[in-house]
Amino acid sequence: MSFLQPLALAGLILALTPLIIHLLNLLRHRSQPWAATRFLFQARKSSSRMSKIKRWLTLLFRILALACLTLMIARPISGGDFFLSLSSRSPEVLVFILDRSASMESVVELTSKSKRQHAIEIFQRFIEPWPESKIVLVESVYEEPFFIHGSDSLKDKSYEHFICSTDTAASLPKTILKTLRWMKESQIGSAEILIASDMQKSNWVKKESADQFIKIDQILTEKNHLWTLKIVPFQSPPPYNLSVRIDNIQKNKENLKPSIILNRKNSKKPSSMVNIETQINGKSQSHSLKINSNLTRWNPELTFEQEIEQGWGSIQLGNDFCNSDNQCFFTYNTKSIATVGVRSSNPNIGIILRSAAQNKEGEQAGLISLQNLQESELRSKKILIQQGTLSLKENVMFEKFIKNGGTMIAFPSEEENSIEFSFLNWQKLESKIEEDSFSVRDWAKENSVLANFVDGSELPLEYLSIQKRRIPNQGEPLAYYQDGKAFLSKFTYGNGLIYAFSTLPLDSWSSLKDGFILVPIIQRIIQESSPISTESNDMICGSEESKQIFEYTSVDLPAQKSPSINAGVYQINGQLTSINRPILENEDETLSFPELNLMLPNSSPIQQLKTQDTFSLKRSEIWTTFLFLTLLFLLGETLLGLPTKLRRKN
Amino acid sequence: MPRRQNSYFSYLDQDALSQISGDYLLSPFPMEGNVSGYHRSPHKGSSVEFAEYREYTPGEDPKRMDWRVFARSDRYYLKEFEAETNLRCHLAIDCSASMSFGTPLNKLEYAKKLGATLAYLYLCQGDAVGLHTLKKKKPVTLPPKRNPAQVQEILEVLGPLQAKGETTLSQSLHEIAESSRMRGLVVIISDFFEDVPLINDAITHLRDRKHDVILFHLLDQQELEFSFDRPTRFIDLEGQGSIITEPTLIREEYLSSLEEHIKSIQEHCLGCEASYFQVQTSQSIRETLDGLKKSRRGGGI
Repeated sequence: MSFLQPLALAGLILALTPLIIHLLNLLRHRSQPWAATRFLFQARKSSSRMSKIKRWLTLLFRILALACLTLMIARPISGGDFFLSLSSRSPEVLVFILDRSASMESVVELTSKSKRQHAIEIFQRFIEPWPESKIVLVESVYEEPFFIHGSDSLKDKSYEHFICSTDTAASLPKTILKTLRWMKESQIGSAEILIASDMQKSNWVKKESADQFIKIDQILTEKNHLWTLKIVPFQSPPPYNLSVRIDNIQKNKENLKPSIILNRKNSKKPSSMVNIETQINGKSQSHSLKINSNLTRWNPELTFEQEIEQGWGSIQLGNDFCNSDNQCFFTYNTKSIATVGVRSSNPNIGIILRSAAQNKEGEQAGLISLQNLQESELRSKKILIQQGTLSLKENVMFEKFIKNGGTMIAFPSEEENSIEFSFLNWQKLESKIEEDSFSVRDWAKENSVLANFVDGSELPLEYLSIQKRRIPNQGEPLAYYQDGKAFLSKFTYGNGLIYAFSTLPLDSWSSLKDGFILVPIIQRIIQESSPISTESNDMICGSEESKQIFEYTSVDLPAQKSPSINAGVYQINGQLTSINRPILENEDETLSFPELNLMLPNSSPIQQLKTQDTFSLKRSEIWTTFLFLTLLFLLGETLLGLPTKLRRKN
Repeated sequence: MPRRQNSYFSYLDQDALSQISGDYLLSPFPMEGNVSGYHRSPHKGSSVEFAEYREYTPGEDPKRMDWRVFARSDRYYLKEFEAETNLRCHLAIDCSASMSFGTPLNKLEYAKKLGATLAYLYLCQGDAVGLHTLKKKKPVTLPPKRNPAQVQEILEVLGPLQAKGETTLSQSLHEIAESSRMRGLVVIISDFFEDVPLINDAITHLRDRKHDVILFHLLDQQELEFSFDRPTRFIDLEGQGSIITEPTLIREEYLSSLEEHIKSIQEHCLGCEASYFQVQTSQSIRETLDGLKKSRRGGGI
């Protein structure tokens, strides 16, 4: 139970007035000499127990009557179905915030409906007691509040676009904050806000959400007792789920080699057979795969019927308890392989680097002039490999290249005092005698250019022998020397990427020249930067970028789809673009209720509604109950005050 | 030497006297007096009231022989008449502290007026009147006398009388019953705030001694109505402690107890042929004595 006018509760002190008056009267008694005291003693003796009970009952009734009167003035609101609630004043607005993230498509246990569908049904029941209230729907994709006309209108096709399933992520704090701000601007009085979410942590806790929670807390504190927030949590994970995503794709003349990651959850069997359907440019192929562990990498060879330079594909799993993560899409484009330019002060190094960066047709990477470098030379390149000194002008040009989205693989100068980049520099030269050398001990073996090979074998970094080194000062190390210093580091600069090596492919410096490390790294960087890989030409469904797409054609399915909410392959501005659901949607980690309430420390605790409990959803003003109780207590007090004879007569 | 002039004559209620003087207050029971009066006597005497015929016994006075009966029956019969005598009135006035309560007059003052007026009336019709002040310390007893100056004596005793101490009503009545050898009239003026069995025992004792008993039960209107509305500390006038209470809460029980008390005394009086009069201190003496006169005029109770 909460109150619309909590300040009035201070009046509860007044409820003690009868008791105080009673005590004061006892103190302020008058003295009366009396002859017939023997009858008083008799009277008190015979009636002491009854009269005491009567007196205290009278006092109690008076106190309760005043307390109920005060509570009535404070305008109490029942938290749920209050059995004495005679009236139910409707809230001005009923707001439904629907989490439409992909994970909400998992099926609720023991039903055939998704969490999203279940949430909509709960909301329809939730609004039943208040037919006069206005209904506002806010969903997590567009985050725009709009009024709807009654619960039946949710079944209308015109609203389908706003409540249908999506392949998006959600940012619930942002959505809630946006809704609350809109309500504040719209000067909404009383409101019931119902949030339906699976409480997936990635949708609730983001970098910027701490600030958003603070603002939500402020608004809710300000509107305490007027706006109430309730959550219908669907925290239970699906009983069994298999999800799929593409890690990377390699293309040959005859086939595509996608690297697919299958993630199995809540499986009781150690191994199981999975049917997988793949599509390359609309042509399906079926596969069966035996899965022995929860995380499986699958590298099929998908052959072309007819080689097309630009195409698309999809991976589709069979149905389980969450179908939204059973599909992923990719595109490829052999035309646009990243062009590489090499610039080195030392010609020997230049030759080695150009060879290492040759393309699949065996052509060496282009050479960039050392003298009078022009911007036009850089414009045609996607990747630059740079070693040696450079002028200030060249430094500016390189900086611009990287900021515009280019990738640079940088090697240190042989001389310590030479001019290097303004945004990247190396430490002093460190050397070891021939018998001794620096060695690489540890490196990022997953999801980096130093990742293990597809067959699981590692890059032979530990066999590198390094006599000289200059440690890059910037970037996140991808590989470490024994002493913990960075062998190779990586960092983003503007829209681009920089990889900085600490040694040179020269005999006097290291065995990098041998190529067993240098070539895979450079080739991987080239592959990573080429649009053939799914990441470069992919979009995340529901991202801001995808919401800006207005002209598109669905390629994988002729059905009405939208890049902002549906994963798939689309023709956008003449380019094939694959749009996949966010990977974080596959995660099971949820936000608990205590954690959520901790983020909103000042406002009233958010009420948690059980999905099956429909009655507790009701909320109404119950002042009439207290009016009734006040009258009841006053009547009781009056009856107690009546003389016994009169009562008997009655 | 002339008697000292005092103001105690105000105790004689002029209004009552003017109304009642001339009417005799007769006892319904035969009284034993020394001289002839207006009350029936248990002995045969020379009044005009025929009593009975009785066979003549030699030695008796032949003057009272009924010769007409002798002429008819040739037997000697004596014709006897009722004797009429005066009575001995004992005024018993309760002087316990509880008698100091009441408005406009407290109960003792009222008792003094009632007692003094009654004494005057009985003396006027030739009866002997005595006084008993019922109190623990130094009780005063004036033996009944038919001397008109007895009024003065009585007033002088009543005048300075103050309500003090605990009641000794029943004990004093027992003493009166024991000390009065000749049957007479005992007028008890009291609030009777004593245990009912004790009071009833005393009344029975008096009646057993053939006394005519009249009870004037003095009560104040406040005592009868108990119309207090605020918490009050009631202090017992006879020093039996005090009680703080909410009068409205115990009013019912109080009135019920008082009513039961009065009813018990009344019923006992009815049973033993004693006269009971409940008197409120707000009543005039004339009103009170009117009631007495009405019951006594025909010799009834």
